[in-house]
Amino acid sequence: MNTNATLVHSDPAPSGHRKGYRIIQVHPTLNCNLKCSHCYSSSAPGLKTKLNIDDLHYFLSSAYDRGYNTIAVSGGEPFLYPELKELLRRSKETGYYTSLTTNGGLLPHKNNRDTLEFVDLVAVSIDGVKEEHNAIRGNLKAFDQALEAVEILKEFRKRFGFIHLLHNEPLDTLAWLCEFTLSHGAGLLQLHPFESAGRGRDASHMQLSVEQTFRFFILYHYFRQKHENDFLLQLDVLHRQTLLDQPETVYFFKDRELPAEEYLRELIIDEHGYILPGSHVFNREFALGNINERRPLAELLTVYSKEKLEDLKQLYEDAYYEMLADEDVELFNYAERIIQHSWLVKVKSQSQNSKVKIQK
Amino acid sequence: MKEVKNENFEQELMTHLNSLEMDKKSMSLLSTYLVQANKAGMKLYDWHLKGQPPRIDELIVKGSVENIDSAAITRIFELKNWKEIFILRRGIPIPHELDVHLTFQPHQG
Repeated sequence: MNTNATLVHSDPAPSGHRKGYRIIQVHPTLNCNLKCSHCYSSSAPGLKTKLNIDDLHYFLSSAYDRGYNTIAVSGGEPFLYPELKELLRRSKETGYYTSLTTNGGLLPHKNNRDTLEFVDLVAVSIDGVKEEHNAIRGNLKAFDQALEAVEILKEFRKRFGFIHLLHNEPLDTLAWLCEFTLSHGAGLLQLHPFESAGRGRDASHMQLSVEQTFRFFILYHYFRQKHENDFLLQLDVLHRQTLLDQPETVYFFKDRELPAEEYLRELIIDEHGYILPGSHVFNREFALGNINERRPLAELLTVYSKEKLEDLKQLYEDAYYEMLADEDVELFNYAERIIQHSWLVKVKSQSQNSKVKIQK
Repeated sequence: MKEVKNENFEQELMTHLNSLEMDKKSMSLLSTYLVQANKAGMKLYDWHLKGQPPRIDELIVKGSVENIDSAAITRIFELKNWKEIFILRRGIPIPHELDVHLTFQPHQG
């Protein structure tokens, strides 16, 4: 997994599914067959930590009862999680819409192909043209393997899309990506801006400049219009005007008392089992708990509402106003801004002895 | 003033955007207009740029608005920096959408 993003945000709900997505992003392992230079989760070969399948299933069952209806399995490389098929099978039985993000390299293995039976949507990571993709992935076969995976997905008639990490790269890449998506009949192309997290901290040369972000934003509008009948194009960047018009996009609901789930529409389970709001790299002080506690989500939400929800709401509010106050900035990678803010709050809560407790 | 034809639009847009001299302010204006047009309910189907790269003298966007009500018209007129607005009602037998051509002029005095 290379981007801190969830593709299913923009995927239309399947027929008959409960209205509206509540997503649980699962990182069952950070073990990966590749070691990409931009990986925000620092996934790499040989990482042994993995989630207990029974703990995971217990939590997911309780979450479904609270209206969560989509799981997005990421990693690491999901196909290196030994219980992936079991996880997806049980999730489908529960009623979840299932998706996974993969680099595609391990999909050709027979057992992994069989796993597709329990997957509704597959997102394949593509970093650019062959040479660029292979250079970033540190593997000369990575691009061809991703293409092979795409052919398998077509053969199995699976819904699939591409996820691309926007970085310091030529503008032409976007035109190429759109043609690539079109030529393979994919339904989605998600563009997620580079984030300086994990191994990405050592890849500052990939950071988008302000000017580049503007250029891609303008081009995105053009290509979205051009391909509106071909596939869904999504860019995870917010314009200031959108922030003003739709503050709920960043979970800011002024003067409204809403249930905890509204602020936790996307939950992340990291490789250690922590249940986090918003992102894999969110400050763990805001965790709801750990799946190994075997507590149902309803109970965790009740406790969270009493102990941490006000801090989380304050965090979103502060991040919202901070973005608006930053008058020189018009385009926001809002996820990154909120994550950054979560770590600032940690400093504040420690110094002021806040009620937020660090999860051990 | 040079007008960019639609069939060459993609290439011309790339040229504009790749121009090293294209300043942040011009790009900011373009981005804002696009977001505003979307906000006004316009489903864009065409754009034109006028101006010799890197300068953008005018941006013309064309789109349809499906809900014909006074609020839709108000939203369009509330847009900033517009120079010209062309609105045509469409639909047979009863008009059900608006065809809107908007000309933005970034460098209004």
